Amino acid sequence: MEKSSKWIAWAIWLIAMAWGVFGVSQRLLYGELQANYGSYIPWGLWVAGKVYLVGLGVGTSLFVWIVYAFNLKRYWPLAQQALLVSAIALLMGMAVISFDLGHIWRAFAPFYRPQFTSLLAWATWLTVINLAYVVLVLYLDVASKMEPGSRRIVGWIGIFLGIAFSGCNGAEFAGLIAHPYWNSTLGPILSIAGDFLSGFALVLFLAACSYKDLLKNDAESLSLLSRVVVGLIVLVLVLQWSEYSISAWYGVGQETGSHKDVLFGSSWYLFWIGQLLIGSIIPAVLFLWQPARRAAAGLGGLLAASAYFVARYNLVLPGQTTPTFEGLENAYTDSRLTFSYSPSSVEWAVLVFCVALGIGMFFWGRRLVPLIKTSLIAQKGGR
Amino acid sequence: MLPGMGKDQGKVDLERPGVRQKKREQGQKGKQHRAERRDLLRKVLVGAVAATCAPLAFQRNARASTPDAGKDMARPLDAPKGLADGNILERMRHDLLRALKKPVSERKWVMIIDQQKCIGCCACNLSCNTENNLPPGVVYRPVLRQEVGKYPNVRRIFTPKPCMHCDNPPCVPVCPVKATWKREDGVVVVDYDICIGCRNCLEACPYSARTADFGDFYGMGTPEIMPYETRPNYEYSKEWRRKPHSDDSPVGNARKCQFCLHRLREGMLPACVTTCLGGATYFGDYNDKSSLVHKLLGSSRVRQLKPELGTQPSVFYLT
Repeated sequence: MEKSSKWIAWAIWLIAMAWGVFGVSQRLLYGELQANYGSYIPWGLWVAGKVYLVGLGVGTSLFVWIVYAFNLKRYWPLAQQALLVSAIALLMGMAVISFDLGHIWRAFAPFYRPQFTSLLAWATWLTVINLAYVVLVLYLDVASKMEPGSRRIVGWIGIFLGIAFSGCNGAEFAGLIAHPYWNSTLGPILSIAGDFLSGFALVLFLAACSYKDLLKNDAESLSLLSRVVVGLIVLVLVLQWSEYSISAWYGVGQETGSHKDVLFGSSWYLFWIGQLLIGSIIPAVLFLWQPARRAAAGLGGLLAASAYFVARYNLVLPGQTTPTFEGLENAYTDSRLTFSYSPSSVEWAVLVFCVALGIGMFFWGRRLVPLIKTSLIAQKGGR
Repeated sequence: MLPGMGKDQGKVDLERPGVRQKKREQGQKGKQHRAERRDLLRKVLVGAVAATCAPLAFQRNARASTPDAGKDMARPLDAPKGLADGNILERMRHDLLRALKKPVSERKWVMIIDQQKCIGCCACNLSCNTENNLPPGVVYRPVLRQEVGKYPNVRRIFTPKPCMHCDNPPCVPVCPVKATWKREDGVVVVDYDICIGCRNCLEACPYSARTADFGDFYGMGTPEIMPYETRPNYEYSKEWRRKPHSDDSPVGNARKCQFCLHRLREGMLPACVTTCLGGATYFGDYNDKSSLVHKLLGSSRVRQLKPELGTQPSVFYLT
């Protein structure tokens, strides 16, 4: 990075942190008073942020577990950095959701007062288990204490943990009968596919940014990864299509209103422009049109990974905008008892704080994770 | 014309009330008619005296028929003065006191709301707010107002909607910390000292019966928060004080109707029941076959909200 670009990046990061610190201080001083969610839309930006970030973290680690499990040595150079990003994303997600709790200091209660019937509790435990596993494997990998033969076992355990978490994260929503939009058997599958998509796209971005010689030596690796991400984009869209088209065909059913809200409601642009155009079509075109170009892979990966936040937002919010009873909103009037929501500046600031903190941790953590030259991998006989 | 019918009998009276009244006045001019009126007045007077005395006689009979009632209703479980026996509230209170003598596990609290009687006055909502000292944004018993039909054939339906205290409550298993559960007597409760404020139970409830306490006060943004806002409430028979800018419970918690357990414990009916102007809300022990609620639930008018979900609410509606 050039010196001037570096200064600009630093300035943006510092501004984001300053705004974020202000938001966090407001949250800690005044509780949830300055959050815009209420009792009829109890989950807002922070829950969407948590679902996205932990999904990103687990998706990134799933890339590594697959590489290890199937012994794909050509991608080994990406493993350590991907694990680092995974751990940070999981931490960011946990930080965001802690601010969403009415009692932050009781955040560890699911560990000493476990409720085994609660999918939210399972999602919490699996987040921490995944984080611990990622950190452990990262440590063993960096310290070179992991035998090459043991990677396969490590990978399979990781795949099991990652998919268990992703499925549970989707089931957490799908199991709530009060919201027909969420109450779908496709929920867990879509969650797993979405985690894979966002995680793999982020790895692609990291690969394009970090390994300048990867393309030179092994353009096929980058191209293959790009094609996998395209496949995941298509898979997610097909799943969404099957979900939406069923209710749209006859136009009846309780979830139809929420689907219409996503596609043609006041926030229609989130799906059509955010997820479909920026997060799906543009990356797919970049990957397929310029498969051998590092810049295309990097930009496409960044767009696909970051725009998936919109899909998460569109999962969390529209599910809550349909009243459970006709006239409920007018039965008792209060700003917390409405079916409309837009995040407050404090909510955005807290999310920005967590993301900025995570980015800071990444650049600091990168020093601990030395990059492995692809030439070394090639010398070790990688395919 | 049917035999025995007068000339005008069987005809539909299409005349306006004013015209009818005039004709009636003209027809009552004779002396014979005046005598009839005096007779009628006498009858009305006798009827009024009889109606006034009857409750006193009933009261005496009722006390005689329940010899243990006085003993069992020692203060604070004594019947409030001014409520005559025969009153529905008093009947339900007797049912309540009888139920309180039983172990908790043998009780099954249910609430019945008669929508034909509900006038949509929201007195129940107001008394609930006052009883539990509810802050802005927290509501235990909103009253849904629905208009059906088209003018001129329109009607308003009112649906007071407390927590349904489901027998199969979706809000309970989703709690990650076991902060909410169903008691043996059927009341779904929240432990404010355990709840972490994740609001998963709010999302799980198909009746939107739970609301979260975000720490709002009506006086926020004004020079002073009035003392009535910071006075404690006594939910679950414990003193809860809300302080501004504090996340001490119940601020930060999920909150909901608990059938006024603190009042039940003292032998009082839930606040919404005692204040219902239309006498539309009934409460009692379903396991007691002689209770009013048990009898009412034998009606063909009984309905539940969203029965298809299988939650089995303990709140019923008479439609």
